[in-house]
Amino acid sequence: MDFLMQMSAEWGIGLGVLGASVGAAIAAIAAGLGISRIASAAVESVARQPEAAGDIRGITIITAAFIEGVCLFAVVIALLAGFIALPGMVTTAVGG
Amino acid sequence: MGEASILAASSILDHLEPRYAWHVPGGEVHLDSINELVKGIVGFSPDITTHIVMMIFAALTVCLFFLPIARRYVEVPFGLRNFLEPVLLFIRDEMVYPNMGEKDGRTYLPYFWSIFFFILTCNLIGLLPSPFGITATGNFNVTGALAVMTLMVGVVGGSVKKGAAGYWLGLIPPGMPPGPGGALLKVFIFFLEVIGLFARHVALMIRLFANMTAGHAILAVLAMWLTLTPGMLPIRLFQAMGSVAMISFEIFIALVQAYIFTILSAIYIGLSLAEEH
Repeated sequence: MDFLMQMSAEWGIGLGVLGASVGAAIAAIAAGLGISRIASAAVESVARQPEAAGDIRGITIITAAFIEGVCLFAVVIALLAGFIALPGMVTTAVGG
Repeated sequence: MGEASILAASSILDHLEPRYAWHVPGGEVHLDSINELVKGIVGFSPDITTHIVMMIFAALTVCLFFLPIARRYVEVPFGLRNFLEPVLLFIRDEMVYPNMGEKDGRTYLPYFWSIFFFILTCNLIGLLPSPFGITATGNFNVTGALAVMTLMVGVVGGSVKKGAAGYWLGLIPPGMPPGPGGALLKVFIFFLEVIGLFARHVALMIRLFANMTAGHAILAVLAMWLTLTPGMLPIRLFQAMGSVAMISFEIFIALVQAYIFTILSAIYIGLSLAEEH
């Protein structure tokens, strides 16, 4: 019985860490997609009108920081989920 | 080796949290005993942590840079003034005046100058080596306080300018249909606007906090990997180069996040102060 509790605790902790990791990975994919669209639009616009390069640079950096902020919200939630699972991971790894 | 790495992983992020013992060269400053001492004298503990010490340093550094050059008009700028004045003019002309006009901009300009340099200095102090390498803005309480300050400046400034009722009712955009359906729509939109107001400022807090903490977490993980390869010099060389690249990126992110916080504060306060036509 104790063995089954140990096993289900380990599964639970593993799923928690898996959820946190997959969440962070999806956030990275989302950031990559969003910022790549900004960058491609920015490069096209500078190619069409080089004198606007300064304005476009400012807009690019601001919007990239917005999108990165949203993805970091997801990273913060992934960190929270990982930290709820982590103490269990330490005690089962060291004690089990 | 497996257990050691798991324990190392769990203690990586401990160094990002505020602590009561500050490591300086020569020993440790026991902030908890200072807190106890003040509690004995005054009755309540000031609860000074390493993050608060870093914020005090940041404030002193900003004063140190600006007080010598302030309040003195120089026809042709030189030296430190020449370095800092274009930054101040950039904040004034590109961030504040376009969002609030000149009159309100002049009133609120010291706030934006202060938070820009405070956040920038806090972020950069976190990248310095050992007695200083603690990021005050990597604490959500600090960034929360900055976001609350922006919120209060917006709400109080808008209420002073338009009257308290004028500010809150001015959140509803004009052009709603008349009649009872319109009144219901106005209540609904008022509710949404208030939620949007608070959500914008919470996003301001989380954006700065998460950017700083994520950067330092990555740096901590890179440093941990360095401890896991003892003696393999070529591999450690590449690991060190990776850490250097990551720290350079973190310097850029420190600048960008200070800029983003300031320009978003300017936009939100500009929205609070905007008159309906």
